[in-house]
Amino acid sequence: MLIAAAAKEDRAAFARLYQASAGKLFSVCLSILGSRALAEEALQDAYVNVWRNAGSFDPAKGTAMTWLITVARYRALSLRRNSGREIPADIEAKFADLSDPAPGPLAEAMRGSEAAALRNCLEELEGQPREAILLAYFRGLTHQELASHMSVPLGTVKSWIRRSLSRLKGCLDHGPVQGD
Amino acid sequence: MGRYKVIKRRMAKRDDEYWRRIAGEYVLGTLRGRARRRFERLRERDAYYCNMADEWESRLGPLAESLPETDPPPEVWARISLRIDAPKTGAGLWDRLVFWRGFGLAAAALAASLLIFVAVGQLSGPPDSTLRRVAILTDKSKSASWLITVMGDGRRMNVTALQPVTVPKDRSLELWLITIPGETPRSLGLMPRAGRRMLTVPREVARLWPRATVLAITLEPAGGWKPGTKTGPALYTGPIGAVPRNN
Repeated sequence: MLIAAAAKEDRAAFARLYQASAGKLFSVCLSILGSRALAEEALQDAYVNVWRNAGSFDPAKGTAMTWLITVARYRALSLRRNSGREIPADIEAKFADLSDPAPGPLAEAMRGSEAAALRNCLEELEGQPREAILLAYFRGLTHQELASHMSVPLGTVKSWIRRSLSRLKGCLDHGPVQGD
Repeated sequence: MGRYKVIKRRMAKRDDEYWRRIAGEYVLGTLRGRARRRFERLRERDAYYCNMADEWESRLGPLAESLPETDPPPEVWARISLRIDAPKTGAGLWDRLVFWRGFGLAAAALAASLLIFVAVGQLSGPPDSTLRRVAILTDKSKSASWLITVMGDGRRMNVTALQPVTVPKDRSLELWLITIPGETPRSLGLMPRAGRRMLTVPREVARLWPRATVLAITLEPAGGWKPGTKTGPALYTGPIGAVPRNN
């Protein structure tokens, strides 16, 4: 609804949309860019894009939040590439929370049914391939960066990603593989 | 050249498995550089690629939604407002803010915060809502945390949290008006825990506005400072700026 209003250039509605979503989108940008200044820049660009392209949002394809997050993530990924940023040293510490398959912040946050399904399917993956997927998604790491960060050959990372995406799709479409 | 031919062939054949993987890597973020831009263009033009990417966005979207929220600083909204404003209103907003440039250390932050107010139309109000004084209170890390505006005869003030504020349940935040060093600070009352609130200033304290220099917020026991005790630590402070009465 708010996005529809933004599409009609309703400033007050756009301000509400911002208030309702900026916290989440800022986290997404911070997570990928690791710098407040760059994350602020990505966030600004993302909302300006949203304002200009609100008409292209199609409610049939997904939730408004998914769309907004997508816009912000792609902008952050693009800025990350341009800035030639190094991988932060604290990446493992911050990341531990997210890759931890035991009940924790990720489990708690992903309570919705779609989120729960995704979480279950992520748990089906093996440890390192899952970590590669999560590092790529949350931190914006490239194949090359993943390989050096995880100390494995580039080809291994590429095949992890390829196989994991394919397994995730299979699992999300048909449910986790049962049995032993 | 070999690679380009392979891609061409895959486009022609609509190799689902191949394109689903490329779309997945695009959404995941591992597709980079020219390959990413090429897929972006395909996606914009052709529903086949667009659907592939959409599917992955819905599959992986819940991951990002699981992140906790981090409030961006208020300047971000101010800058977005400026960029999306059509020239007609954009100029107007700046004109109204130009007079801020003359004074104070926090002029830029002030202008930005005010812009938010103007942008969301909150400055219009009941009689004598003329803005008289403004203060931005910052925390220890110098990050703008509260916007305080004083209206009309000084009896009404608006306090707005610019960031999330965490106060333990058994504590209160209390706002103080400070005049000159050595003079006793005067309490302006308790602060809200979040959002925006109008506070009424006692008449005898409102008389002090012309001499007021600084506002401070301290952490006190629930219900506020008890006379005869020491005040709690000052968590936020900021200078008070007067608004010239030229318009």
